[in-house]
Amino acid sequence: MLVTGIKSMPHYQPLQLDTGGTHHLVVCQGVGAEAGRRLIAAAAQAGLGDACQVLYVPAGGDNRFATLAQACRSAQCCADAGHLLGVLETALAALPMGLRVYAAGSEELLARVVRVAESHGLDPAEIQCEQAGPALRRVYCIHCRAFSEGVNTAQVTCCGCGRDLLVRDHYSRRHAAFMGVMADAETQVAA
Amino acid sequence: MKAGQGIPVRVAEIEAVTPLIRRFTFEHADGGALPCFSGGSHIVVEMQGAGRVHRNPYSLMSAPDETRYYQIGVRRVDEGRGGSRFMHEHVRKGTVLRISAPVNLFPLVRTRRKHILLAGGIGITPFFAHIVELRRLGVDFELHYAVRDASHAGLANDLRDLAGDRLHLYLEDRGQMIDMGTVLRGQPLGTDVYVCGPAGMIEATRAAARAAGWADSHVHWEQFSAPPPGEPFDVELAHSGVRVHVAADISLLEAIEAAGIDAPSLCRGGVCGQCEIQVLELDGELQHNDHYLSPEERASGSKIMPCVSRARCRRLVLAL
Repeated sequence: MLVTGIKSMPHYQPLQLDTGGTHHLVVCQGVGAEAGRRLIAAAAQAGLGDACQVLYVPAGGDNRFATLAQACRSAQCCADAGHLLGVLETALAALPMGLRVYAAGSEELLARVVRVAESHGLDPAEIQCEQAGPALRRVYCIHCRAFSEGVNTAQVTCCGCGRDLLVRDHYSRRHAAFMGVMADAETQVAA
Repeated sequence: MKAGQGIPVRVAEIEAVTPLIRRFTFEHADGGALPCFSGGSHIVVEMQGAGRVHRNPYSLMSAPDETRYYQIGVRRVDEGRGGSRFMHEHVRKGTVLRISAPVNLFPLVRTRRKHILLAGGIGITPFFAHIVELRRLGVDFELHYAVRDASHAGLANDLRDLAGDRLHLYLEDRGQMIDMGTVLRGQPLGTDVYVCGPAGMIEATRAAARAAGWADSHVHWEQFSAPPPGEPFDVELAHSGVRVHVAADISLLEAIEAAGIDAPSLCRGGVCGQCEIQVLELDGELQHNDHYLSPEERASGSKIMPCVSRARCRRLVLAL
């Protein structure tokens, strides 16, 4: 059951400035501000400071926007993730080729940012993601289709049907969630 | 395609569309339907020349869903190895030839939102089918097509019918050149560029895309190389236990095939990678002419693409 090397398993890496781009859009959430600040600093050092734009959303009462506003002239703080994605959508509609998108935040936010970026024609070569904050998984129950949020264990009780789910490394980009399958499906239960 | 395999086709029509290019229309020799294909596909045409077989790749320029006939454009190259000259001089209406099934090494990326097509001269051929596909999908595109002068623009009328005012025609004798930087500047996110033409044009496009900040994944090109002639050499095929002589004007792949050895191949133009062979022993140097191997692979001297590459050597042993 615990298959290793599953290809859909997302890989996150520290954000790294891609000097091949002509415009750099940095999206960060909560403590992801630190990754954003590092990227802006690298851009400034490479003389690309004016080509950067930052969108930030606080998480869990943790607002680090000030450090970003200090580092980048074009920084915007959004009220919540929905607002941020709307602003991102508007920005992407107006920007030409040459753009690189960088995102740092929770796995769920990263998935949503990637989906918006892909809908505007960006591909993996133009999008980087760094997971920031607690590593929590969103789990999709293949039996009742409920999503259990904030999972940090290999086995979890489904919030929808109460089954014990084994969390696989099998990731759905569409659902932005990992697959959860009944852990003891082959154990006979007395009727 | 091995000798005697593939699809038999009869030449139904030959048109001189420019002073150098003829358009051939093929129908299935047995009267059946030909396979449908996707825009950017090519076929390999087998020609029985005097004393040797030519096998040349040509892009399909008919509509992808048209199964009654195929069309290819052949530019006559007099200094070449004779394949295109054979097509121009010896192929007549009614001639039966063999072709391979279509293969696509230059497809459209269907998830993109806009496509820029850049063609120079005979490089226009794959874009006919691309445009039919783009029109059917209703996706935005631009076509920039450069030719020597008005007399070489014989295909422009057909293109105008297909592409309307999305066609930008450049006549080089009037000093009209495609300015890649201008064409690529300000294009919306999700745009891809496709270029087919002379090596210089491909290089200029790739450089302009890089300068405009485009990721390489948005830049596509196709360039079939004819195998250049060179010094004759001998090659030993370790698995077959055969020694083959490669004459000056024959490619390594052709020499292997002529010796009756079954070697894999697909595009025969150094593009697809299908014919890659491991080099077991080499006393001399490989002359790589393909667009497939990475610089590191070339430098290692451990692989060769026999469709276009040769060796200048005293001894060469291949794992075939």
